[in-house]
Amino acid sequence: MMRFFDAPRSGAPALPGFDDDHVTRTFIACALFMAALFVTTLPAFFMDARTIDGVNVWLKPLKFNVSLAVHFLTLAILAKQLPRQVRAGPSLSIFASLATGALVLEQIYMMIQSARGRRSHFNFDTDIESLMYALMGVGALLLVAVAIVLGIQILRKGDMSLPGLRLGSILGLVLGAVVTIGFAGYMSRSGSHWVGVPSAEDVSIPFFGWSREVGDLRPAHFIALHMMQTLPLVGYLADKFTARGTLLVIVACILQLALATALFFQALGGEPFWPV
Amino acid sequence: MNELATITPAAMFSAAGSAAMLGWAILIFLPRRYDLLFAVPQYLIPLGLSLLYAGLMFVNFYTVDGGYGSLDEVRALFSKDEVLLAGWVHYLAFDLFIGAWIARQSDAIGVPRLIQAVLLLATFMFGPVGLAAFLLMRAGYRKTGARS
Repeated sequence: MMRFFDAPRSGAPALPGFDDDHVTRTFIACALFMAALFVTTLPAFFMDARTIDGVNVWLKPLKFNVSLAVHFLTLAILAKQLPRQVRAGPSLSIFASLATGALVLEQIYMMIQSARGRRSHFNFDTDIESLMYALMGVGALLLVAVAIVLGIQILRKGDMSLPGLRLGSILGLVLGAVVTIGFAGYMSRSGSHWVGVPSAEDVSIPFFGWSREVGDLRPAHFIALHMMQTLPLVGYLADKFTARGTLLVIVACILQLALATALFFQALGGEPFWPV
Repeated sequence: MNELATITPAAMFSAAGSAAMLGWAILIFLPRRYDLLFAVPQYLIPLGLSLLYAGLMFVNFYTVDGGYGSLDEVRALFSKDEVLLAGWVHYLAFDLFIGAWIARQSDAIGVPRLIQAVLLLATFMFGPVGLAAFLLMRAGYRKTGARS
């Protein structure tokens, strides 16, 4: 059964510089699949005149393509810090497979809803759409759960030779995931990513679609989620050029958490973070 | 943002047809020794046509009644010009890709270019006819070891 979800164990590495264990291959397959779907969906984005909440119906799956491609590539890169038997061990195998299943479910459903010109998130119009929205919540949890598991494994058994990269990976993966789940959970319970009622025309930041007229919880979500990329990167660079890798990671972590929290409360106050 | 939404199906039909023709001309008439040139009919044009198909289908599939379950459903699906065009582009893309495969395989087993030209023309005009002829013909080369 697991073979159905994860990549074959043997063979050449999927991308140069990566190991060929099945967990790495699964992460890379997910990233490349999302990148390929981005290009495949792009024509529809340019050909479709339909909109949802003032933005093109295909914008959401495209954004998820980019986001998930970055997410899984990040997991593949950071997992290099683990010894192969840990990386390909049971916990990461199981959570990588669950994340793969979640990715497939989320992406297919979002694309079907875009093709139908209907919302995928925050949609309670029909029983099936309510159910799918709930399932997408579970899927989103599974997509970040694998990051938490990876962070914990790096904490337990990760390579110690680059302390900044190691701490950045642990904090980014675990804290980034936990804070993101917190923000996303709040958004989900409040029933909208807006705080306030935006006008009919599109007054938002291109591609991201964040409102410039009312509070929008998505910038905070974005900043929190991408701790998974920024903190390991800060750690990696700090290790390379200084001897204070861990200190710089802690400073970056505090700054980014503060920024995400500030954006969250600004949005709760109904304020756009970049007013028109 | 939706510049392409204003292009008519007729204009897209014509552009897709020209692209496919270019691909077939390369396959039938031009030398095979330049990988980059061969990649145009083998990958580049089928990929471009496939992306056009994806756009047409994603945008229109749920805006028409019909489906894949019966002849009546398929007829209903093709009642909209955009979906009809998508179906045509599907032919163009897949036929050309198969044509490139036939060309490569034919080179490997040593089929003369004149015979190849006939097989490719048959694939161009009546897709499965060319494929059937080539598959049957290739079966005769089984023992040479040249077949991959």
